[in-house]
Amino acid sequence: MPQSPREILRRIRGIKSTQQITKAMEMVAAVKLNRIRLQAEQSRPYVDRMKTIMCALRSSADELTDPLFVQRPEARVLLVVITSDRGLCGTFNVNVINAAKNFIEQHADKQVSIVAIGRKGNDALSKLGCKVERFFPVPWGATLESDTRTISIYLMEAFTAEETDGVYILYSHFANVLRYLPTCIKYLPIPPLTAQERRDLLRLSADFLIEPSFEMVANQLTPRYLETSLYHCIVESLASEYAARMVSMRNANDNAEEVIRDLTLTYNKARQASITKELIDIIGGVEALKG
Amino acid sequence: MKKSTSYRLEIITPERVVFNHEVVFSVIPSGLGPIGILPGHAPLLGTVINGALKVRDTDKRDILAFVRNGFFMISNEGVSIITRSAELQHQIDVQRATAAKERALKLLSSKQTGIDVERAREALRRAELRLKVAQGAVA
Repeated sequence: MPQSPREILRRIRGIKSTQQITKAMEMVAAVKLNRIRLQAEQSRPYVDRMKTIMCALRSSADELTDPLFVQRPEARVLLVVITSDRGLCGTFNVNVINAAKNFIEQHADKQVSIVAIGRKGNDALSKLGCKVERFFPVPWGATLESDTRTISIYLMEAFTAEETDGVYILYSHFANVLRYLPTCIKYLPIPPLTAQERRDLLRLSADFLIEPSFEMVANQLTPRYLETSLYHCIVESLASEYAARMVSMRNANDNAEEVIRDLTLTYNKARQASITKELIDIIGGVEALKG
Repeated sequence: MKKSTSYRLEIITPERVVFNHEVVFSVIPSGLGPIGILPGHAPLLGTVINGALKVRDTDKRDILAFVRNGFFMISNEGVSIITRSAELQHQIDVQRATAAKERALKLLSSKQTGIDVERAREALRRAELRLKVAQGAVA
């Protein structure tokens, strides 16, 4: 690599400033990840209890008349895809988008529309020619809860107005800092109880009385329940995003370190070479004068 | 609920677990009016409205708390209350509640119509209840 020492020096400087940016981004992602994990942990008892109460409510009703519970044949399906608004987070978005593609292929016999939460998913899926019904930026920070509510109300209304027969959510499940799995859950209609849920419920009680009535409680509980489960998905997705960004920025950092080391070596070699050359010139000159 | 002298009562909000202790008696502001719960109560599901929650713990101490709209479940494992927010008597921010009350009163006196009035009324009721609980002035 015949480069002048000065050029090499400039490249080193350039890489160093990039490294500063990646370092800062890594730290920001780490802080955000910690915050969202704390939030997820604190809200877990609430989310769990909400689920239990929902199960208890479902098990106590003989027949479900509430439209949000009624399963109807799925001709049109709404897929909510949760990605991120920003890039530089490794394979995070790609994984979710691929999972969305798979979902669409598996449901080829139905009409699948997309609701995109997150700009990246919106852009990628629009480019693929999917029908994106609606786009929302990813809720986070102070407006996390109120924005989540808006989205869940939108989904609920789309379902009750029979614009769609089923709503699924595709999000990244946060397993640990290095593992986030695209996961698909059924959002609407609220699926029937699983055998496991029934078993868990028996420990609490076989039969609950409901006051004032199933309809009254369901009317209030269902929107809250849906909001909470969407909130859960978004928080998981946010945690995955921050973890992915943190890891990929750390890799970028390590890479920059390596490149700088190599370049420094090349620079020193080139510098030494030029010094040697100059010395030879001088010595040659002196020899010539002597002659 | 199983027969015993006490049961577990938990109050859970999205931010934290506000209360989680063995108690001997509690009164919940349910949608059908206050209901008193002794150990061994039948399994029951219902709604909670803005109001004061009274609890007597195993040391015979009375505890007051403010709870917002939510739900309760009485099961074999005790009583769970989930609500958007709840505060024990000493946790209530009196200044904030007073400010909220004044804000609501101002809004109501400005004679606007529509949803804002409903909201202001709701906020006023909440603030007043909070202040009542903070002062321990609950019947």
